[in-house]
Amino acid sequence: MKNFAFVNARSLEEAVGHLAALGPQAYVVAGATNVMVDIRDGKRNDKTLVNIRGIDALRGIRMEGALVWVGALTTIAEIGASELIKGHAPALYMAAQVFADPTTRNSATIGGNLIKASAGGDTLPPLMVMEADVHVKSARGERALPICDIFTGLGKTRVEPDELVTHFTFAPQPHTAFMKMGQRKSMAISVCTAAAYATVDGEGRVTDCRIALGAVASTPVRASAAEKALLGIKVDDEGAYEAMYGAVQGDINPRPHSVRASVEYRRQIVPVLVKRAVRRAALGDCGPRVQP
Amino acid sequence: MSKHTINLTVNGKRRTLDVQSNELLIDVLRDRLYLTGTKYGCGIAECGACTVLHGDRSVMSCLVPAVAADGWEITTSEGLAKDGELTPVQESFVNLGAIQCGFCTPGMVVTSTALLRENPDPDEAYVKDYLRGNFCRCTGYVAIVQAVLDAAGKMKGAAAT
Repeated sequence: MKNFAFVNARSLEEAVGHLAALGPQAYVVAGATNVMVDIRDGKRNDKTLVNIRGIDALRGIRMEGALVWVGALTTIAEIGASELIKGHAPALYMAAQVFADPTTRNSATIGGNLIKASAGGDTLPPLMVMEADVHVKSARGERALPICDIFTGLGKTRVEPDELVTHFTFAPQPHTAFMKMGQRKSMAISVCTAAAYATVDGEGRVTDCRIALGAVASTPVRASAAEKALLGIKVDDEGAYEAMYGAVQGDINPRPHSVRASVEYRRQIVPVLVKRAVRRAALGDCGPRVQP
Repeated sequence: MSKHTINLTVNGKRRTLDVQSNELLIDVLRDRLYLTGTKYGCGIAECGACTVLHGDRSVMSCLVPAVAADGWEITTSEGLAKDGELTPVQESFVNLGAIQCGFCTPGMVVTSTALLRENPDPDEAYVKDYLRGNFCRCTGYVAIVQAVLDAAGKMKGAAAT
């Protein structure tokens, strides 16, 4: 095994203290499902792991006033079993059902999924259509960052090395949904994913919508052109999606020569996932477990 | 690198161990405690062969630094049977021939045990979905899924009487 040192943080204060003292030497570890893989791959060497797994203050799902509060250490399994998330953030709930496999979900955390900043992180498009705030803390203080402009590149976020993600907050929104296309179900990194927030009027016309996509560019992206093209269309009118099919192509920039899917394939699949996510979101509940 | 003293409860026994920061839980289980039932497969949590129980929940021991498991209560495949008597899951795996080469079997049995603790009354789709992170390369999935459903039936019958 590669070399690394280890310190255990028993409280939030201890954790940010370690991060301030260690500087770029620090590497935060919680569920370890990404961290240990990166170490084994040699992507990170001779780091000091700062273990935050035991900090209970960073765990849990609850209402704080009018907002949903999700601790950074909350596991994907906990999110996928939460009635509160199911009712208030169906997109996030649906993402948790198709995330890796049940054993990985027992360890993997939502904070880790954010910091990994993979283009295909399953919880990220849902958090983006919820317009979640990411709360971070350091020895310098606390701040909140809007998730929609937190990603600066593959594996990179605006969270500074001495900052620790503590929790997420977002307004409840039952009209959201998530769709994932993978090469197979198990452990498959997404070929592409789509999260949607969509509300409709009495005639079934889209009155408001937000779309976020995964694995279609170097970071998860908001699809603003697709959002504009969807406004006013009737959700159950198949032909009405045509404008979005074209518009969404400008929102995405799939990587050429990807091992998982060609550019052409992703460009064909993305609008279909968007359409399905919008329809499901407009319904306003998760329905049965769904796979595209 | 750093050195640490950790306490584990493994299959009901308390263990105090001195470990290096970069020792993995699977290495401690296999090489220090000689519990070689837990298999080292891919090393990156894709195959499920190294699955053990942490309390009632499954975890892949190849990704856990041993020092991060300080204080954990761990059950490996060796710790499931009590006094030589197989659990319903183990018994069903044997009776239905849900074992071919056997390499994936400890992980399959441990994950199936976690599955039935979480949901004592699963249907076929639930079992297939739950075991999706445990790979069997002898293509033995049909018998494995049947074995889990068989065990669930037996356990329900036992609970009813």
